[in-house]
Amino acid sequence: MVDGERVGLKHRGIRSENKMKIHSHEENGASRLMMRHEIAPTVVLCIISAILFAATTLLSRRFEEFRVGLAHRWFTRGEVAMQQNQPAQASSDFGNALFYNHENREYTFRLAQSLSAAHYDAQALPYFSTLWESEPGNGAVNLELARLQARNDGTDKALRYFHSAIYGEWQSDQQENRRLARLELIGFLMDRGLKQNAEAELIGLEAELPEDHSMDSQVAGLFLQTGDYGRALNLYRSSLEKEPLAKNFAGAGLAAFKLGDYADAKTFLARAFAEGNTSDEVRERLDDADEIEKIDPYLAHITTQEKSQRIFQLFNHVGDRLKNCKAAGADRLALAQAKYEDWKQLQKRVSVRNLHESPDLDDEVMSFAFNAAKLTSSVCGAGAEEDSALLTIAQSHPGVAR
Amino acid sequence: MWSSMKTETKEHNAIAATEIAEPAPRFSYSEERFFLVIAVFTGIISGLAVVCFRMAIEFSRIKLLGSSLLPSAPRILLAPALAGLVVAVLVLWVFPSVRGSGVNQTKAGVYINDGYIPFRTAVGKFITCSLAIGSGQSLGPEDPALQIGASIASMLGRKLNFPREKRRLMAPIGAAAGLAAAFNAPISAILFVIEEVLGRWSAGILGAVVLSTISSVVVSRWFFGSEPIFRIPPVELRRPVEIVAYLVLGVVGGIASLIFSWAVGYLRPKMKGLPRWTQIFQPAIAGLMIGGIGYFGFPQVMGAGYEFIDQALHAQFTWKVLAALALLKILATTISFVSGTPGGMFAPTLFIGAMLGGAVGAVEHMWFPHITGSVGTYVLVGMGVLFAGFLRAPLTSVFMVLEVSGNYSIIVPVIVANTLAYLIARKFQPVPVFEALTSQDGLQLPSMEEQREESILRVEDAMTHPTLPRFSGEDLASTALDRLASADAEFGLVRRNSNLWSIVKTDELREATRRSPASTSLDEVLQDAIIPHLYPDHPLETALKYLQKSPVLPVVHRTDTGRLIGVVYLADALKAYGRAAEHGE
Repeated sequence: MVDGERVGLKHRGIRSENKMKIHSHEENGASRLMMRHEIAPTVVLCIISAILFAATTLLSRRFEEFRVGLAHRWFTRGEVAMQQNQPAQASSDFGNALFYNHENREYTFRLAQSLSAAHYDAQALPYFSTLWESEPGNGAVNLELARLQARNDGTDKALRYFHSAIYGEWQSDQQENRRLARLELIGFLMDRGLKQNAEAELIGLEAELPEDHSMDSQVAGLFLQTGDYGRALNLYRSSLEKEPLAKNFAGAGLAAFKLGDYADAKTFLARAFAEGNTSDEVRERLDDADEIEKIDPYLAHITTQEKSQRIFQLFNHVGDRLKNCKAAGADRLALAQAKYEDWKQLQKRVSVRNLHESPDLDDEVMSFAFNAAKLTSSVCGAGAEEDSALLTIAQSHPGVAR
Repeated sequence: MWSSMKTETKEHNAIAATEIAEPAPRFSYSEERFFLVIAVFTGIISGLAVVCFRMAIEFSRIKLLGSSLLPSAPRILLAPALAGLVVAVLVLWVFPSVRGSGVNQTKAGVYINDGYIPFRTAVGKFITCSLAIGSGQSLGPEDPALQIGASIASMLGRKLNFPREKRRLMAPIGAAAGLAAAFNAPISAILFVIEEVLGRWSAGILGAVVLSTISSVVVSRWFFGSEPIFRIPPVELRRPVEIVAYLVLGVVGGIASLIFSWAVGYLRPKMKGLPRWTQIFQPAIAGLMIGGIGYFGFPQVMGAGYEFIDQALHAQFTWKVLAALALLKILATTISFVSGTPGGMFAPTLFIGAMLGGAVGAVEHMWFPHITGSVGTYVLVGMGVLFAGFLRAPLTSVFMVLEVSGNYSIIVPVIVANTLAYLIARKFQPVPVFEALTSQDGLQLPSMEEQREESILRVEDAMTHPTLPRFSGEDLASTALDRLASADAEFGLVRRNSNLWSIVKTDELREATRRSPASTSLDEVLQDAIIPHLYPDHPLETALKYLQKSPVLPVVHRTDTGRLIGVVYLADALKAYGRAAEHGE
């Protein structure tokens, strides 16, 4: 309706007001009739809608129960497949389960896990990402994402997810799961040669080890790999209280050997050997410890007289070695001969008595012996057990060996 | 379908004849309100029907194909074939009006039968499509849901004795409700019905459509939850230059749309032209062929395929599988549709677009690894691309992607890719597929694409400079008569108080001056004989309504209605329509 017409109607409206009053009674009746025509259908439609709604609700509930049942059956099949180490089949089953119960996070998680286990990483990642979006602090999800990233060389992202898993929320066995997550992180770091980072994590793990010492041996072995022999030995000792197994004795022996505690190393290694660990490493370290026990002048339990005697014997030994050096090549031979000349010069001052009376001469002679041993081991070929032991002693006394 | 349309037309004519004998009263304000209330009930009941429809489809699928997403071999081959036989019998002898997707049939109901769609159609569509889609025919539930909703609404309109103009509107209202409940996307449903069924916006219907759609979506979400059909992984556009990648998708999607349209348009009349007895077996053979595709490694093409779109969104397929699925789905859907199996094209279009988008995205990632958009993003955009190119509903395609993803950062790639696909499809196939199908059925329905692009003629297109005599209300009647005589004009315009306008005619003035004193003013002669005035931006059809009663109408300025800027004559208005018709507007 345009403006002019609206105004025109108003004018006519004013004029016909009197006429309207005459017809108002008739119009009231029509209005009541109209209301009945509107209210009655509305009420009827309300009733019909309510009945249809109730019927649909009943049908929907029955159908939903049917679907949930289907989902559960497929999920169970998927779990069986996973137990049978068939992740590809399991992923198909979990996929079906998820289809019938798509809001179930556990189904989504297990599907993603099965895909990951089957190495379908590209397919697993979106499901894990979706789970992570809704629960960024979920430990299990973060751990799976860490594994995926680790497999796909995403080191930085893997580290981030590992830490989120370690400090995240776990539905059950929170402490245990966090420990295991950290353990897995340590393995990841070791694989990538990040030993210092791994050691830092190990120290953190050490503080959270269970009181029953069930993980002490495993962690001690990792400390051994990172070179922290002190912590390794402590943990091996505590694990031996609960599990006096050959592997623990061997580990303790190796750790003690690296720390220069040859007596304890010999004890542990002998025990490991006796318990059945006859590996080459144990055997060699035991022999080394035995030899070192015989020649090491720095052992705490020997007397000064014996110390001087041992130094004298070592000095003579390296002299023989230099004299009889069969070096390949004139340069190498010259080195050995030069060193032998030095030995002859020093020999004039070396005697058991002089060594006993002069501690400075001890250090000078041992320093010469260590250096000569290093030289002969590099230019004169493999030596006897005594040479190997001497080199090991030199490593334990770097200040003297300079 | 044509014979069933004839039957429906007969029924409709019977209703119309009754109406002519007893014309219904004009809708009053309270009746407009009542109409909106009925729209809400339409939405509720349509929503409940579609909820049951979706459950029926899934139940059929579980019983016919098994509960696994990858059915066993015997079921894959036998289920669609046997169900196809049953569907064919039902369509041929029990529910003849349920052939096709449902969109064209709804349009035909609106434009040919004044919105009359028998309730039997809803029942037949429900049963046949549940069987067909559930057994694995490559068709979707949305279009049938649209028709079911339209049928329910039409029945309500008849039972409530609505007048014809309101009965005609009920079908689109129900159609939007049905589609919204099926797809859980109310805005897309409204836009699709307006784009594809109505063809133009109308304030009168928009309120009812919105109410019915919202009601049906509320009902649908009550039962199915508010989560979208697809679980969308994180999508975003990080670098604007990557829009070029989406342009490629637009081109590929446009080409795929053309292939799909051509296949359907070419094969359908061929199949319809076969002897009638073959129609019993066509759906079964189609089912067997689709089962064969499934048997030989691609069961994903069976049924609507939404679960596999979800998997594509989560990068579960390689690009080769995605490309193969896209092509095979075109083949499977063509086979299903041209065989006469009832079912929709909505879901297959989304499937094809999704797979195509994923394939293009995966290939682009291989060649350009630095592209940040995930394959899921391309899948999402691909859905819209096919929607725009094949169904030729560009606005719906954009909003559908936004509604489904809930992520507006994707809007630019969507618009760009969809527009390109739409333009390519339109360039090489000017007639959209739905219109082509309508023509094949012998029906002449208005082209929605053309209607959308029709420009509305306005008053300014027909107005001319005012040359007729103009007076003010205070002027004397005698003076006015003299001026009219000297100008040789039959009438003039009079500006009254409050900047209203009237027409004064020569014979009217003669009579007035003869009876009244010479000092009579034009206001006294004309009294309250006001004529409507127009503004230049008014639709021209508004002028037509009033030009029957007045030989001319004044066109005035919006800021000053006393300022005359033109006049409109009936002849000039008709000339303007004639010019528009010549130019093909």
